[in-house]
Amino acid sequence: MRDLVLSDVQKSYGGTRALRGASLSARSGEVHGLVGENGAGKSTLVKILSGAVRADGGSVALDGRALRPRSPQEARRAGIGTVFQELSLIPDLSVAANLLYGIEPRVRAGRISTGALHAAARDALARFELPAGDVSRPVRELRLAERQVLEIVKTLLHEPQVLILDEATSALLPEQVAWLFALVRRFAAAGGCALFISHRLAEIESLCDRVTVFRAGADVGGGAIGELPEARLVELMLGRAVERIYPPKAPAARDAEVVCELRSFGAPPRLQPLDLKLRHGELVGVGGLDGQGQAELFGALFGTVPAAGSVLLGARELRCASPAAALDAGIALVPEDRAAEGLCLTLGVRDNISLGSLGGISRLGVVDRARERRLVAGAVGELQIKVADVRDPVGGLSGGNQQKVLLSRVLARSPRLLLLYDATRGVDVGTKTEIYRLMREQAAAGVAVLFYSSDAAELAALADRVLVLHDGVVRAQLSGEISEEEIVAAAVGGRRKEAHA
Amino acid sequence: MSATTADPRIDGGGRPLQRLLRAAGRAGLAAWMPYLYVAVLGGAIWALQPALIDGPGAVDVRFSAVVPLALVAFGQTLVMFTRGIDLAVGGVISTATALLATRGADGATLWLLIAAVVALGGVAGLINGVAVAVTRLQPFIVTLATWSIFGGVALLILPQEGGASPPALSEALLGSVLGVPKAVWVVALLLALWGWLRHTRLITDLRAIGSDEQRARLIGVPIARRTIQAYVLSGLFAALAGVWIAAQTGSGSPTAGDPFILSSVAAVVLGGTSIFGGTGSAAASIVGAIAFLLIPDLIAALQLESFWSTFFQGALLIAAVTVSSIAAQLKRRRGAA
Repeated sequence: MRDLVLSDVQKSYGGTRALRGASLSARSGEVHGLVGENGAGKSTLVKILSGAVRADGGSVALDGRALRPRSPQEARRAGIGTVFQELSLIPDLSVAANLLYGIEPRVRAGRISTGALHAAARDALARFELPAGDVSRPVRELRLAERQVLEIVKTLLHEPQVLILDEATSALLPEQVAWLFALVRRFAAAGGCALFISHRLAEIESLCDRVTVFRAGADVGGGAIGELPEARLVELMLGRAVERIYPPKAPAARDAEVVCELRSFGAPPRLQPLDLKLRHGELVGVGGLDGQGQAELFGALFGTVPAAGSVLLGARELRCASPAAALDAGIALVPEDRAAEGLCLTLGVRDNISLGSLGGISRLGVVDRARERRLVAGAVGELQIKVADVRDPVGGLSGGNQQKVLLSRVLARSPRLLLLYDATRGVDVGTKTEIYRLMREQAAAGVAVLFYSSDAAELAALADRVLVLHDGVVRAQLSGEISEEEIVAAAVGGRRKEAHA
Repeated sequence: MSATTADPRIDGGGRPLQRLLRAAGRAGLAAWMPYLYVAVLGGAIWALQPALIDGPGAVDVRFSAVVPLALVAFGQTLVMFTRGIDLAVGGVISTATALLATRGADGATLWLLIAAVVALGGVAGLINGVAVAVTRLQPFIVTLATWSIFGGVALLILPQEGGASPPALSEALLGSVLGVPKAVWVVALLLALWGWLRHTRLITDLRAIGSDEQRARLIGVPIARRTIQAYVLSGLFAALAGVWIAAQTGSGSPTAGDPFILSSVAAVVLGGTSIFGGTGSAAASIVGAIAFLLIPDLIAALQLESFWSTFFQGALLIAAVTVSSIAAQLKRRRGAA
């Protein structure tokens, strides 16, 4: 028996409580689903199980024995195999070196036999029904889907007792998902215990035997998958009914004023030229599988990726070669990684908000403190940012509040084109609702709003129009009553067509 | 459709020759640049002043100068694999020459002295490694401090240039074996050492750390141990370079090592190793060292004032960095596609 039992596990990062008493029990021979919103504590749980961080309290038991791995090696030795969401492949090492790291076939005096290593890697790939090819290639050169597959194979080569799959399907094609599911079922049938984490509820339903739902750092329900219809799962995840989170849609009239227009706008080679008109009051979403050119579209608009074609904002044609030029032209971006790209974590809330508008509130290069105070106080009030003192460093705030600070700064500039790149990722439901409301308000006020989301449900419920990208091309444009299934089908359907071609 | 025919292919395979060509193409232009620099510089010197290349003793002179830089660059490469840098090599070399120039020794005691000097280099590396790996200080700051400390130790031992290193030391290291200068043997030995070392767990781990430390931790690379090993090896190589310099010059200097700080980094960069870690080769660094040291000869062949040497060494470095930067961008574009 390889039962995995977690009870009352707690973990805090600084002042943020990521896990506040989470329990989960997965039996040997079963595939156990773990669902929850971003920020519900799933990733923290994975980190604790895989030895990347240590729990503050509670207990984890595998096979009846206490499990407290102090390092990833210890976790692996204890039989925990983790397919990490961010992948754990070293970009500069070869496919073979990555696959067999730590279990190289022939090591003499610390020296690895390259021939034996490559042969073993080809052999391992063949065992998993994958074409081997050139295993001396550095992983850096592989596509995301290939890397994801490699990560899965690598984890299984260690023959774990517990297999953790953290969003392992996010980059996979339908055929690859089927391949993975067959592997996981075989693993469980052989007595293993698989923990499957996914945002795609359809996958949870088709693969898992039982499921546990996390919300805000604790388990809030679960049971056999057959007894939990999707609507019930969603309700558990959110803690309330779905409809209320999203503001009502407001599709633009056919003759509404065009506030922003893209003409043959692209970023070759990863984004083919596309035409797009954003009308007054309209919220336009961009979707599709990961890495299909969405990042390039937003980067090109914001001047971080070389672009081709033209952008018309109001009556003016823009050519933005840098973020500074884009900001001057009235384009603002809320990036995906707010910590790395958007905020100065060691600076205070005040400085982070006013940073983008210093030109407007300065005289002769000196910041007018009174005007700055008014600006910051207005933003903090408007967005209900929870902060004791506006001089407190942003790094200590919760993800949701950090995102609000970033939004305040962006909106303080009164942009004319507002770009949001997965702005609600890792943000709690309350903040999400705030962000959605703001997006609607901005659109209603005549700002062109374009957002990307990795969450199909969000796209379906929020956007008036959804563009689904695949391989740098717009595969579908959906409007009216948009369903999550339509978006997913368009995202993967295009792929399937191509795979058959 | 089954997964076998779908996209999870890792590569196309192909015949050995194709694979070799692909490997060469993958290594890219950057990997061939150090050899190109040596060929072009050597060719130019040979065309202008053949005696500088094929005159009597010319090879010995060239390689005697190459040996210490090749040694330091070897160690520096290992450190730079981890995204680190070792500035302390300057202090270690100076201390080594100062010690050798002030302690008369012969026979067995000479070997003991050399062993002590090399061990001291290892200790310096251990201090650096522990400071970087365990206390997680910036390599630049740590080794800047230890360079200064060991520079001070050198001054304490030998306040000014001079002293006399044991004649037996020079006898042991200079001259020829089997008609080939010992300096050439040393360089050949270093290249062979790299040939053996490059497939070791150590080098794989160092590359992994430099490539992505977070992920290296996840897959179980012993990060602290490997980082310390890299700095210890760098210290040992620096001390060996000091031994060679003492033998070569017959004296010591409290600042003998300082020029090697920047020239070793230059040799590594000329060899195509990225300062952002993960990739590179110590053999290429040695070739880079040769290229770097051909510049003064080219200046002599051109009969220019010697200060032009540093000018052109700098220019070569800029050119090399530009090439590797462009190559890296192309690679990234290809990798992302």
